[in-house]
Amino acid sequence: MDTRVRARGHIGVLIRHDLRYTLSSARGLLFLVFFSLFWAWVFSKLVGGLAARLGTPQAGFLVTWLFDSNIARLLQERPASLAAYFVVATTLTPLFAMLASCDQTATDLGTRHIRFLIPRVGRAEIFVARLLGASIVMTIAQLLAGIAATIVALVVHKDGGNTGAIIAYGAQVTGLLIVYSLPIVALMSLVSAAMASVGLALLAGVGGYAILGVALGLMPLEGTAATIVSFLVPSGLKPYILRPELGPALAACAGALGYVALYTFLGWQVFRTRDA
Amino acid sequence: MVAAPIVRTGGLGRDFGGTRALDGIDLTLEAGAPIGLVGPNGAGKTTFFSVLCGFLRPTRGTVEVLGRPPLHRDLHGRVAILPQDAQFVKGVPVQSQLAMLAELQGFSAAAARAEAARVLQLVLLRDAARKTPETLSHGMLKRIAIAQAFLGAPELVLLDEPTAGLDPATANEMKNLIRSLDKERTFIVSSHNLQDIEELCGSVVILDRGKIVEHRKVSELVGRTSCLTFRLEADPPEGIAAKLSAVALVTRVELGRPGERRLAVHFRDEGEGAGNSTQIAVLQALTAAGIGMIEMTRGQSLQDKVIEMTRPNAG
Repeated sequence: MDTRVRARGHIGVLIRHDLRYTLSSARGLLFLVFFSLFWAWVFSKLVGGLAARLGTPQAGFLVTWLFDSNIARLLQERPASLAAYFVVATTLTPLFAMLASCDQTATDLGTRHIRFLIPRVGRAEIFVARLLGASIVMTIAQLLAGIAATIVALVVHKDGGNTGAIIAYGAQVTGLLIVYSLPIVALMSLVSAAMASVGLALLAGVGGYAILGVALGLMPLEGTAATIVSFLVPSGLKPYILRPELGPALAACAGALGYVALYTFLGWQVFRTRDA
Repeated sequence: MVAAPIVRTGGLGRDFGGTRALDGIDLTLEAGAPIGLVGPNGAGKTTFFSVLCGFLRPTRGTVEVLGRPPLHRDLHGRVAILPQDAQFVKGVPVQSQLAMLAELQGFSAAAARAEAARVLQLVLLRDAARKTPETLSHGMLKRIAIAQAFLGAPELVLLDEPTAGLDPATANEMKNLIRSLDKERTFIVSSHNLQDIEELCGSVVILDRGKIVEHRKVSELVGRTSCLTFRLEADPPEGIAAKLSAVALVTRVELGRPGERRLAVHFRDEGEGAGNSTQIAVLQALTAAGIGMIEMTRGQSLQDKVIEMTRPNAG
């Protein structure tokens, strides 16, 4: 059989097994339950009147003061419930993506389960399959949350008569969130291979991200240095993704794919050279 | 075309920090009867297996398995291993996990399920098919791990401590399984149970402190036609060596260390019943010296030989 066909077959088998494992493992269920409950709570608040209040000029003033004017514009110019979902989801996507993808190769390495795999399949195929498996889980989760957010927006804004616009914006938001979560999944491929433990990978990922965020906030950097440092992790893309205009958001998507390429390359280098 | 050796290494070395786990291993192993890999703790047996399978990269030297470097995709499914400390995924039934491994070896989904059932039957665990690893005992998990090494038709099977942790009856079943399959594939068996190695293997590689001490046929190593080994009631007296050396054809007398209560008498193998007459003469000399014996065996046990060859001051 052709080598590439065989490799694709191996990756397919590993992904299928990975997805089944996600649905049956405590870690996978923890993520799905936490993710579902959190959004159920947020949507209940939006349906309960919060969305209507977010669209008012007073709320816009408050949001401008707390965050920035672009977010206030987003809440004013777009369906407020979807915009609110977008802002909250963008903030929490790194955490959710880390929860969903902290395993990847960590369990393989930590329990030496990889020793059952290596005589049958290449290391590259294992790495790619684990990365794609985690990406698929995160994409499906974002997709379902996006669909739910769009349905909530249709219910909340049912008197506006702009169903098509709401659905289109819901699709745009969902697509942007999926793309924004991929660099985090790729980052966790690096962290999980380096840590070889699910718990340590999660701790290192979340802790590292939080510490970097705090450090960036405290650092008295300005100009080019501040710009460079803010792009050390994908959250530097957040302000561009949240801009109401599509242009900056698409540029941020291209940037996100750059992070994916970089982190995947680094993750592969770590995984490739690790003792099994 | 001459078949490539199943394993060929040249100057193979692997370090862990400042420790040389493998040091200058030059070894060629041919397909055929099972090969034993023995040595004391820390000799480098598991490291050697890990390098052969590509789990660890060598620090220096070369290694080829079935004519290819480890991790080469041509080896996928042709080399199988029972790793010593690998775990199955928790929460997933063992038959599903075996079926996935079979699929990775090229079986279709349906054939993989049948193959998983076949190997579970081989290790007498058909009833455990739907159980998850965390509900199985250590011995059962060991058997599942053995089962995965028999998926498909690997040409080379590396078994790291296949009977460790198994009760005697199950260990026997596993040895019978290996015997029943050793015509179809080559086994390399690493074990501390040297009786198992003696029973199963045609040749043995002895490792000590990362180096090869010996690589010979088991029959040659234990010297069945040129040595008598006695287990005595007490440590042999010092003067007995001189008395036994005076017996015709006796070339060397080996006294066990204090407390071992052991005596080995080596003699020239001149055939034509010479061994029998030497045996009688040795027994007479021991009786005359008033030495009580518990057991006599022709040849040395592999265990004695390995202990002798891997003593700190040996060689």
